[in-house]
Order: sequence, then C-alpha cells, then structure tokens
Amino acid sequence: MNSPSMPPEEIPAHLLLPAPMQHMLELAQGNVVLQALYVAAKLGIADLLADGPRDSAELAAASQSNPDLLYRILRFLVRFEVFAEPQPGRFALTPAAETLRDRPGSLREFVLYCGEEFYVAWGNFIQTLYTPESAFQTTYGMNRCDYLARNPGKESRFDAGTRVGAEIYVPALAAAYDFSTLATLVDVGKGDRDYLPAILQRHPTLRGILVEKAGLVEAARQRLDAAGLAGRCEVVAGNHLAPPPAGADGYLVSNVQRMEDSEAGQIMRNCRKAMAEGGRLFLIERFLSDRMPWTLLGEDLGLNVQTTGRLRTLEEFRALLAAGGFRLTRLAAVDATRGVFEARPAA
Amino acid sequence: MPDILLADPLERRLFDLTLGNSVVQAIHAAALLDIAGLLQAGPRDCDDLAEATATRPDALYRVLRFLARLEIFAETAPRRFALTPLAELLLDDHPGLLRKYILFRGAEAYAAVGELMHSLKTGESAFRKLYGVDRPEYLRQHPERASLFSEGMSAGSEWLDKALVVAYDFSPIQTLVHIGGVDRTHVIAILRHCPAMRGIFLEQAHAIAATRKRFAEAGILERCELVADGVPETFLPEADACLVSAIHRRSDADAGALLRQCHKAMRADARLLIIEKFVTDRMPWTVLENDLTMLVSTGSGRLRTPDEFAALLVAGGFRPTRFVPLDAAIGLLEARPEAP
Repeated sequence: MNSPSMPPEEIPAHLLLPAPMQHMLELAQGNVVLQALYVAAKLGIADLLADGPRDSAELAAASQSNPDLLYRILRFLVRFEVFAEPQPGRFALTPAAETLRDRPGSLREFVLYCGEEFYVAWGNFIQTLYTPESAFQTTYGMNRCDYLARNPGKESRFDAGTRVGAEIYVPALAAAYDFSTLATLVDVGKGDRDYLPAILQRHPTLRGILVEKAGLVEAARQRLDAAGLAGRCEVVAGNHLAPPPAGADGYLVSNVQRMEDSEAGQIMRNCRKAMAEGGRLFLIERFLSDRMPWTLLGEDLGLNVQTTGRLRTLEEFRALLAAGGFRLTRLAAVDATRGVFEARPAA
Repeated sequence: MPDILLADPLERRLFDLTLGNSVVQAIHAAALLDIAGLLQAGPRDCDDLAEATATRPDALYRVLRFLARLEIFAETAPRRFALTPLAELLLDDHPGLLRKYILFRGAEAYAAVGELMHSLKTGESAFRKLYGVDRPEYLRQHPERASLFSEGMSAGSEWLDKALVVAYDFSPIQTLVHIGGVDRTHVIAILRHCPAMRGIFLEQAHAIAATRKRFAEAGILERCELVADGVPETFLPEADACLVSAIHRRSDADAGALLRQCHKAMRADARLLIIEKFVTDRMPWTVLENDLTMLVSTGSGRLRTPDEFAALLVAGGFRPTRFVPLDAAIGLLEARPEAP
C-alpha cells in the first residue's frame, strides 16, 4: 500500500480546475475570511499571543471557546499569514496579526465593526439596487443614527469603525492646504468633528466657528477647551441644513460621502448665501480616481449599505459643486483617495 | 502614494481582507440579476441593463464599476459593460455552475457565516440559530433552494470528473453502490465512462426526482436504480464497489458508524471508494474555507487530513490501499475490507 499522505500519482495540468474558476471561488468566499478575522479579533487572540506562541487548546481555554473549532479557524487564518503555526497546533503572531492587537491605531475595532451589524446589513445589499434606502435601514428598520440612539453601547464601536486611521489622515489633511490665508473658518456641522480642531492647531492665526447640534454644544466646547482652542473657536447651536453663521471667508463641509446629492447641494447653497465677498468653500473628502486601491469601490457600495451616501469622482464633485453654485478651484490631495477641495462661487 | 492610511503593505492586506464580504455581495447581485446573461450578445449600456433588470441605474452602475475593477465585466466605454473571462463563469449555462453556487453563497450561506462566532461558542450550527434547523433539514423544507444548493455545490466538478475517470480504472466494477447524496456529478462521469456498469443510488427521498432527471439527461438512467432512503445492508452484497461521498458533512462518530455498516454488508472482495476533499499542505485556501462552512452549516461536519481519514477507515474495519489525488485538494481513496 502507498500511504494516503504521500500521493504518488500526478494529474495532468489540463485536468486541474481552470485558474479563472479558482479565482472566482476565492472571490465568492471572501466573507468567510472576514468572519474568521472577526472571531480572532473578538476573542483577542493576537493579545493572547503577545508573550509568545501558545497551543490552540490553551488559547481556547483563555478565550472560552471550543478548542477544535478555534484550531480550525486559526489554521484557516494562517493561510493568509494572519498568525503562523510554527508547530502543529501551536500558533504565533505575524506582522499582520499584530495589527489585530487591542491598542490605539490597530485595526481591531475596525474588524469588529465590519463583522457585526455592518456584516448583517451587507447581506441585504441587493435591496439597494431596487430601493433608495440603505441596506442598514432594510435590515434594522431604522437608520444608523436611530439605531445608535437605541443602542448606546454601540457608539464607540461605530465611531472607531468609521474613523480608522484618523490619527494619520486628519493631521495630513489639516496640513495639505494653507488655511492661514483665511480669517475665519466655519464648520457647518454633521461632518467629521476632528478636522476643524486639527486645522486650527496647524494654523495659529485662524479663528473657527463650529455649528453643533444643541445637545452636543457643551461637549464640543469642552473638547475644544481641552485642545487649548477655546479662545479661538466659538460653538453655536444649529443644524447643518439651516443657514450657517454669515459673513465668514471660509466654510468647511465634510463627510459629503454620507450625503445624497440633494442634501449636499442644499448645504452648499446655504454657504454661498452666507459667505463674505471673496469667500471660499472647502470640502474634505475621499474621492475616486484611477490610482485608487480597488477597495475604495467596495467602500463606495458600503456607503450605500450604511447610509444613502456615495464616493464621488472628481467629475462628480465638479458637478455637485456647480449645482451648489460653486466652481472647483483646487484639490490639495494627500494621496490617491483623500484631499481638501477648494471652491469659489461661480460667476 | 495611493493611500497614506494603509501605506504599510501588511495593514493594506488585512484591510483588503475585511472587504471580502462586499465582493461576495456584489457578485451575488450580478448573479441574481443575470447581468452576464444580458451581456452574452454583446456590450450594453448600464441604463439599458438597469431597465432590463428593473434596478436603479445609478446603484447598478456602482456595482458594475466595482466588479469591473476586479475584472468581472469590463467597462469598454463610459457606463457601457461587456463580458470578461471571469464574467462568463456567471452565465447560467456555464458548465462550471458558479452562478448557482453564488446564489446560495450570497444568501443563506452568507447569513450563516455571520454566525461563525456562535458556532465557535456553542458548537451549534449557525443554520440552526438562524433557521431553527441544520442545513440538510432546511434544504428538505425548501426544495427550490435545495436544487440550487445541489447544483451549486457541483461548481467546478466538470474538471474534477475528467480527472477522475483518467486517474482511476473503474472498468473492473460491474455494480457500483453509491451512498451519500448525489451533490457532485462524478457518479454520472463514472457511469458514462463505463458503459457496462450498473449503478445503485441510495438517495434521500426528496432528491429522487431531481436526480432521476439529471440521470436521464446524462443518458444513464436505464442502468441505474434509485432507492429512496434505502439502507446499505440491502444493496451492498451485490456491489463490486461502494462509493461514499460527502463524508465531510458527517462527524467522526457518524462517519465511523457508516463505515462499520458498510464493512458488515460488503463482500470480502469488494472495494470501498471515497471521493473527498482533503486538508493538505498544497491545497488552496478555499478548501479550508469549506471546513469552516461545515462548521456553520452542520455543526459536526469537518474536512480531514489523509491521515485522519486513514485512521477513520482503519477504525471502520478497512485497509487503505490507494490514494489518487484529483487536484491539490480532492482525492480518491481506495480501501479494502479487513476480515472481521
């Protein structure tokens, strides 16, 4: 007998599964990879391995999970170089696994975010092709904001999930454009709350006005105070769809990616009416381009799962600005996906 | 720089992996709407495709633009799409059957995978949590999903079947008894390759009609006997060979019991044949994915290494005699009954 573990017979290559079939099978199974990552992140496996390799049985005991099943999940992740199996049944960290550690700047919170409500909502993605409502709405019967209001414990996860890498891109964007040519920058609200403080810190002569929901004004004041910006930044209660404080020479809108064209257009028209002669409008946004990674187009569909938003190409930004009464005058990009758009009132 | 946030290639790679579910759902949408079929006669505008599928043109465009980036469809002119070699795999009549595979993968199987953590913590299948029953029972309750599942799970088997009949000499076998559900097409391939062979198929009652239809289409029905919920003891004494498939859907205890049952009823000169996926060093990762899918769909099924399989056979009273690999992960295992 020949041993079953030492196959002696070779199969001619032309009889093997054609490469496109194998490729498509891999694409069709990507959700399993995400869920395996989710399990590892949720159980804190990377942290359990911080002091060195451990047996899967030991990891299972420490994470209160089934040893056989945990072994099979980790063995699967080893194929993606997330964890290594230096000896049978014994697992170790890899550089990719390090990014799942529970510490600031890691991808752990993001993976947890992707693996929970967002994963379930993606299961109803097909509905977004038929109706303009988000898959999140279809799945949970309410939008993200209402869901968060009813599930207060989820806020930090959603927040972390949508702001992964903020400590890198926020300062980069604040430095990408010279805002010191302005006297006052008004943040019209609803956008990413990190940008205005970062811009003020970077440009010490600039003054800021932040429009914030009435209930959040005090918290915003405290944050600005803690950042040493209380003297340079006023917080006013208001709604991002209402006319913003008038007479400033700069208006900042961000997270247009979460808005439909109509909503973004209304905000821009309000800004145009409010701004001083010679004023400028700024959008801080992600955009689609030829050089972007493929994942950005997946994230575009993800915006349709979470909200009714979208990522836009430069052409689409031009059209959006034109509909709001502006022309695009400059894009200060920090990479192939993010930048500060400068626009001036159209003639 | 394409992306300051993920400038580190490892972070980039991990981040890419977290997008896997969006890829699955975009492919699922294209498969469900049969976009490939609509493009078979040539490239078409997105608006035209949206009208034909009663979908929102803008939303459909965003899906196709994403898939085009993955080389599934090509955007040959602005908002105009064409087939690509990958997209052709999604044609409904493509022998690879990937469209049907994806229609199941993107729906029930997608939801079940979302409960991997539940299976890990409780040992219960995700199907049971979501649908109240394990996958086999769920399929019994939903015949239209069962036929989709059954065809979809044969995805890729056309190539496997070609390899199978070349790699192993089935001609000495006059009567073949098959146990384990005809969800792969290899039994059809074997019978077509051996025109004198007679087949006896122990099949689940709900699947009989579909199997009969497939056998008729393959031109082998007159040589086959289909037995609803039959017990191996009744038919195995006639068999020169007993072919068991889909053992990966069974727990060790369940698989062991089946092998002992076969051993008891088989003739001493008959052979046991097993066609299975094996866990080996050179298998593609998609095989291990199947192992996790077993976890969420049956709770107890699993893929095994050749050594684990050999141990299972020995415990069941068999002596492994030959292992024929059919590709990097699938092989045919031949075993002979040991004297009791």
